[in-house]
Amino acid sequence: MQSGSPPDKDTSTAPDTAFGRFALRLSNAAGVLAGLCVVGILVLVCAEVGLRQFKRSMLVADEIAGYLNAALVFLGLAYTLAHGGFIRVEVVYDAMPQPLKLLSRWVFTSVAAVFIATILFYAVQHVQYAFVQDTRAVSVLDTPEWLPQSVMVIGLAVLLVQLVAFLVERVRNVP
Amino acid sequence: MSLELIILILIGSLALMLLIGQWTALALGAVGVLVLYLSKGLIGLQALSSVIWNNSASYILIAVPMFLLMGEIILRSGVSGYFYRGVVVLLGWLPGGLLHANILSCAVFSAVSGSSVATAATVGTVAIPEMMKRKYPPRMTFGSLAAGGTLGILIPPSIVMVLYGALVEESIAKLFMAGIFPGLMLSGIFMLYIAIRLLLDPTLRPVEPPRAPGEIGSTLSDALHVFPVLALLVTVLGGIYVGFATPTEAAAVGAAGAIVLAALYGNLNAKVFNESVMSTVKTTCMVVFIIIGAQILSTALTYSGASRTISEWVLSLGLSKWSFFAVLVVLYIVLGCFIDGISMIYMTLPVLLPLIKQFGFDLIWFGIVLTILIELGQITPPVGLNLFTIHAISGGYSFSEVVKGSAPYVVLMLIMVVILCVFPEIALWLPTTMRG
Repeated sequence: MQSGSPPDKDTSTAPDTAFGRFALRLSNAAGVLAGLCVVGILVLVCAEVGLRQFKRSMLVADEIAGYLNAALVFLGLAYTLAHGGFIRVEVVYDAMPQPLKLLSRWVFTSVAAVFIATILFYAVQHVQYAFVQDTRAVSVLDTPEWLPQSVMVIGLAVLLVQLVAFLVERVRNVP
Repeated sequence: MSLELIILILIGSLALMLLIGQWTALALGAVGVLVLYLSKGLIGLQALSSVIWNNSASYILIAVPMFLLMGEIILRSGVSGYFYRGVVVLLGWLPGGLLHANILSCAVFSAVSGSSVATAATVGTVAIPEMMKRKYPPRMTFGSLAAGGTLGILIPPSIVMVLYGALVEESIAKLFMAGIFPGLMLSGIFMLYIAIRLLLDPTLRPVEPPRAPGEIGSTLSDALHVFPVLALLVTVLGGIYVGFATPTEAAAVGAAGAIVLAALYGNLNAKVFNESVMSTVKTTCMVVFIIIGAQILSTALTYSGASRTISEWVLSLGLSKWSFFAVLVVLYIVLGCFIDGISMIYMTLPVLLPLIKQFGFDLIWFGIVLTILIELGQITPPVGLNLFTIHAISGGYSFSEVVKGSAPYVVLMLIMVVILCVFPEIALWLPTTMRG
């Protein structure tokens, strides 16, 4: 890193169970895919701007870039969590004595896991419905909606695996 | 379950979650799910998947990762260091020149990078050792860096404005243009304040007369380093202003421009690029997940009828337009002491927006005022992201020293809010001159 770069906040510690290592690898792999989505959006949008100079258009750039952005968000969730990217109010937490800190971590990690499991459940239903009813996007591509929406399910599932891994490791590695 | 009880549970559980250190996005979403369930049962939860999907697959939000990528590349490729040295050459001759250089380079740089925290950190790591060497008063040094870093939220391109515009359905291009003059004016007010302080209290002046660092004779070429970053900013904003590109497209072109710039400086390599992309992933996910969490909560507020009850209650108080506004300002100052700007916008506006419209405020103008109040939240303790950043790189000074140095700028920002109330044209004139 250059001397002028901002300090990175990455407080993750190495997992010490097989499941923990599996979860982190999964989160990182999904994170890399999310990174590829960033590059994809960049290329796609710039290409569309370039084509417009020649009075042409791909017609589908906006739609695909939107899907890539959703993919970026969902695939990146677990990676962001594992590497301490989600912000939280730390003022009170930092001042807590150690046992209370541990209790807090148990409580908020469990609540997070239940919350993500809940929205994952409804996301699965949503995608199932879109698949069975064969709902389509109103666009040139006529995209079946379940296709891009599946990424939402995959990303939330990876996030849930990461949260469960934190619980399995007795919340030692919560960033 | 009665509405009063639901509102009580909502406030209680949200406060508890935030206090024990729950990730903000998940705290908002989890409390939202709880309130949805309590008020509508399992049927209420059916809305969840649409809320989540619609808030992530939106064309406007694509601007977020692209602006972030632009800033990351610029920050990590070290272009910032060159830029700061250039500004020092241009402003170093002024009394307290490096303080002015801090304000100006933070203003421009945070506008380009879109991150006030990263800007404060980047300019700070270059500036603080230099200024300590020259015996600048520490408090004023820290204040200028912490407050200067916030200016970029107001000076476009601004991610906060993209998110505000997406929520209230106002033109992001217009919001950007409306931010330019207030942003420049606030920078001017900061510099004026520094000049007056130094004039009134000669003991604050650095002992050693400020000189441009580097070899004599290299000053002119150093000054030239100001232009590439400025050119990038002008290209991005100019493209939006003349209607050549949407904010999303301008963001992508800006990111591509940043990559070219870093390459021209010879500082682009796989490590810089990969780190920039992965950091973009992290920040984008953080921001969008806060939006998703807050939108779940706001859906719950609407479904349960809490939004309407709160609105009706406020209207029943019979406040005048400006006393309502004063209450809002106080509310945002208090919230800003504890939570980040994006959570602040998305937590409050779904409830307050109907009221703001009812009282007849212009939504572009209000966006600018809200942005200033969010800036203010970044330098108010106990939770002020810029304060933490500057404290971390201050080289052993106490946190309260950074807080005291930043305090005057809080007052200056409030003065700017008052000025905008009296002269709304400062914000609203430029958008009216746009084409299209």
